[in-house]
Parts: sequence; C-alpha cells; structure tokens
Amino acid sequence: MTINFNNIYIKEKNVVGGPYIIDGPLSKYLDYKFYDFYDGEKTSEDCEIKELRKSISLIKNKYDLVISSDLGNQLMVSNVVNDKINKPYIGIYNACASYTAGLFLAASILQNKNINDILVTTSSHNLTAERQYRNPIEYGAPKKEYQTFTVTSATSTLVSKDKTNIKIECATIGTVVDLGIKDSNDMGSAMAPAAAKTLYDHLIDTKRNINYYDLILTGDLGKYGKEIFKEYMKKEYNINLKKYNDSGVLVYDMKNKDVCAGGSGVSCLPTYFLTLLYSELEKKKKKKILLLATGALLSTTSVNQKKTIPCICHAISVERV
Amino acid sequence: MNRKEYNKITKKILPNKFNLKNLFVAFISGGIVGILGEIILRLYLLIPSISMAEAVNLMMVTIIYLSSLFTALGFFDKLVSKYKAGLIVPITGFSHSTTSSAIEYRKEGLVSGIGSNIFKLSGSVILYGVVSAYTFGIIRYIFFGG
Amino acid sequence: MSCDKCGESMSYIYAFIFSGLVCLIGQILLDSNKFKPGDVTSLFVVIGAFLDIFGIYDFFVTKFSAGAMVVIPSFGHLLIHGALAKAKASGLLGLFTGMFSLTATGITSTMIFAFLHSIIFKPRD
Repeated sequence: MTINFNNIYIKEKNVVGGPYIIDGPLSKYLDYKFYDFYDGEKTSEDCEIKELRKSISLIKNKYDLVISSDLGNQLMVSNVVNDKINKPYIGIYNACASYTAGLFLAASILQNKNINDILVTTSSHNLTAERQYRNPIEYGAPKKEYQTFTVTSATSTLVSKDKTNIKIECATIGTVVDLGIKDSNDMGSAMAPAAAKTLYDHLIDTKRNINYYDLILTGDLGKYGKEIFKEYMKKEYNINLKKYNDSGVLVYDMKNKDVCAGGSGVSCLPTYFLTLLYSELEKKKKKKILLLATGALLSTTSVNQKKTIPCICHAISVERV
Repeated sequence: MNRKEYNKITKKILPNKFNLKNLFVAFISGGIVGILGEIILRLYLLIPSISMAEAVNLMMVTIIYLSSLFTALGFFDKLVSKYKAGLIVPITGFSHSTTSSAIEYRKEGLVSGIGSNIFKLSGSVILYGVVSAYTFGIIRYIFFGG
Repeated sequence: MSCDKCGESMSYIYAFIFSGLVCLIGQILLDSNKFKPGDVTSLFVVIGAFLDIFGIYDFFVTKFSAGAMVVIPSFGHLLIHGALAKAKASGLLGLFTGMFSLTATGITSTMIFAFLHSIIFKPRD
C-alpha cells in the first residue's frame, strides 16, 4: 500500500546523541551531546527520559500533536516524557520501524484541515534495551560478531503542512515477513526480507526504477544484514542495488569502536537521516532518498517460546524541493 | 523464496561459527583459572592443621568473593566478554551471573527487585544440579549401594 | 577427598589442562549458537553429577586437583556426594537431607556476596 502526499514537509528537527554516537562520524551534526550512559541519573531509563525531554525542549516551533516511539516495555519512556509536554499524544510501537511508521501516521493525520504540525519523536538507549531484551547490564555475556549495538540517542522531527525545502513525498506501509529466523542476536537476517518486500512493493506501486533514488537507506540491518539484503534483492526480485546503504554501519566509528555489526534501535535511522543525510539534502548533494526503517517484532516471551521473528519495514520517500 | 533457500544466503554471508581464536582464548583463560585455584588451595593448605575439605571450601569462597567483587567494580563483565567460556564455565561464572543480576535489579526494590531476580541467570544451575544429583544418586544407591 | 598429587609442581599443569579443556568444550557449545551461557553451565552441572554414578569425577578431582574443583561440574559432583553420604547413613531420605551439605559454602557465600555488593555498588557500564 503506497500513499502519496503533496502537502507534507519537515519543518524542524534535532538529534540528541549519547555515548558512541558523539565520537562517531555524526558528531559535528548533533544538536546536543551527553557523555555517559547515565548522564547523572540513577537508572538508564531515567537517562533516556532526560534525553528525550531535552530533544523535545529544543524544538522552537509549535506543534499540535506528539507521536512518540521507543523500545521499552509499554513505551515507558515516551509515556513519562509526554506527561510534562501537555499536548495530545499517541505512543506507537513498531520496533525499529517506528520512525517511518510515525512519519506516515503524522502525514496522514495532517490531511485533517484542523491540524497543522505534528512532532514525531524516537528514543533508544543501549543499556535499557540490553536489560530488557538480553541480560543484566553488568553481565558479560560474550557478544556475537553479527549482533548489533543499540544506538543511544533521542530524535525529534517536526512534520508540517507549511512549505519547506524537505518534502515527505509518499509512504509505503509494509506487510509482516517472517523467513524463519529464531536467533534474536541475528536481527539483520530476520529483517532483510521485510525490507526487500517493502522496497519491491514501493517500486511497483510508484512505477519507479531502482535508480530513481539518490540513496536507499535501511534502518539497522548491520554489516552482515546489508549484504544479505543486497543478495536477497538480487535473487528474489532480480534487482541490483547500487545507491544503497544501511544506517547501522554509518552511525558509529566502526573501525575503532567495539560495536559488533553496527547500530540498531528506533533512533538508529533518524540519527543518521536527521544529521549527515539531512545536511546533504539541504545542500542539494542528494535530492531523492528512500528511508526503509526495519523492525524485528519479537519480545522476550516469543524468544523464550522459541518462536520465529516476524519483521516489518515501512518506507518513506523524502525529496529536496 | 522459502526458508531453506534463505538460510543458504545467510549462511554464506554471516561470519564463520567456529573460530579457532575463540577456542584458544577459552582454553588458556580457563586453564589460568584452574592454576589460580591450585595456587590459592596450596596457600590455604599451608595453614597448620587445616583439613583438605576446609581448604577446598576456603578456595571456593575466595574465588566466589573475587568474582563477585570484580563484577560489582564494573570490569569483570568486560573480562567475561573477552575470555568467554574461560570465565563462564568455572564457578567465577556462577558468582558473576548472580552478582550482576542482584546489582541490576536493586533499583526495583529489595523484594520484587533483588529478591525475585537474583537467581535469574544462575538458578537453573542450582535447580538442575539438585534434580540430577537426586536422580543419579538414586541410581547409584540402588546399583552400587551408595 | 584426597589429593595424592599435592606437593608436586606437576599439579599446576594438570589443573591448567583440565580446567582449560572443560572451558574449551564449553566454548564449542557456546559458539554453535544453540546454547546460551546458562544452558552450558546447567548441562555441565548435570554431567558432573552423572559422572559420579561411576566415580569418574572423583578420579578427576584426585588427579587434576583444583583444576577439577574450580569448574562448574564439580558443583554437581559435590551435590551428589553430599546426598549419597547422608543416604548411606539414613537410607533414601538421606538424599534430601544431605544434598546441600557439601555445597552449602558455595551457595551461601554467592548469595551473601551478591547481596552485599548489590547494596554497596551500582551498575555502570
């Protein structure tokens, strides 16, 4: 399903970056930095709350509604933060595909003539995600080479009907794809087919060629996941990807930091998109990009019950006008 | 594409499962823990009129204490991650997993936090140790008289 | 428990070899991606108890000294020994009574130290 928009733009945005992001390639584009995993708070959840609050407080323009997403159980961080914001609020969970899902929902809700601006936020924190999905923080379970390292950052995107240079042009909503991966450490393999299906459906719906875009960007497939994605696109849909990259390998200094296969998390794709890539768009170095945020829809219960991992990918096409 | 064909693709691209370096690291670090245990045991045996059983107990308590302390000080998890099975398989692993769970859940309270979660990772060792000791104990008792 | 190799420097090498080998087997299991660390340690504890049906682990302890005592299968070995020692004296009920008699030190100290340290220290990373 692909929906076209002709009046939706990104008016303002910011990224609040934490450890590993602040000393990576995106360092100079960050709007605010925090230097350790607790930032003076008692728990990692409190730190995540503090950073998301900071990100939202940096927004100068007004907004009518907030759509927030994070990885925590029952969206604890988003819920607590929105308590002080005092605006109509909807929390959404699509795992790491939440960002593009949020942009689609914002663009759709904005079709209502009474609403003009919607704030879409994301938040993820490495320790909070580790603690919930894997092991206690001080436990040193050996890391697998192909597992990903959740990005610690908070982002805000103000989506508006007021015209700016960056336009949200259309959205393709993905369907759930599950090719039988059970290993919760190998999310790249689990999510690649979902990204492939959404990309293919998008190209069919829009009647576009793969070379239409200056960059196709997946969310967090990681170092190995992106190769699996390229191979799968070739074998299944006979499409050769050229102008393609994955945010997971672009947000960190992969050579000098021990981040295994790269970044993941709700904030992974927006952290790259809203910093380096956004500046390339503004400078017209790139004009048309496709954001493919991928989410692994697993839970600790489903993993313990030895279920396979269903995945989803939502696409947003962004243009420099 | 079906699951089997997809598995072929992922298998080709993902890094090799078995890694000689990992095995070597585990062997050496595990061996070092063994030597450390022997050194500590010998030191305790120097205490006059101490029995072997007491010395062994003291040796185990020492290793358990040090693993717990190093976990609490925050660097043992990096060591365990680095030396893998070499620190997980000895009793250092048992102590480390119990202490890290206790530290983690302290912020959720004494009862619902520490109390409910302290054996999250190590409880299965105690449970299956007891169940198997009981089962195999019965077998030995019946066939060999104890 | 006896240790007839005590006093010889060879025992250090034996300790190294045995402990290293057990950890090596553990690493192979971990690397196969089918086992988590908890699965490996639980399996080893069961094996430790199993080997003592035939007194095999007793032999390991005699020959390899601390190398056999420091790894987790020794836990299973101590559990079954404690149980059987009491069973010899008081029949099958002794299996329950004596189960923790030799491992009490290990389990109690783990709990106490874990608790104390959790009160004093906070998680970092």
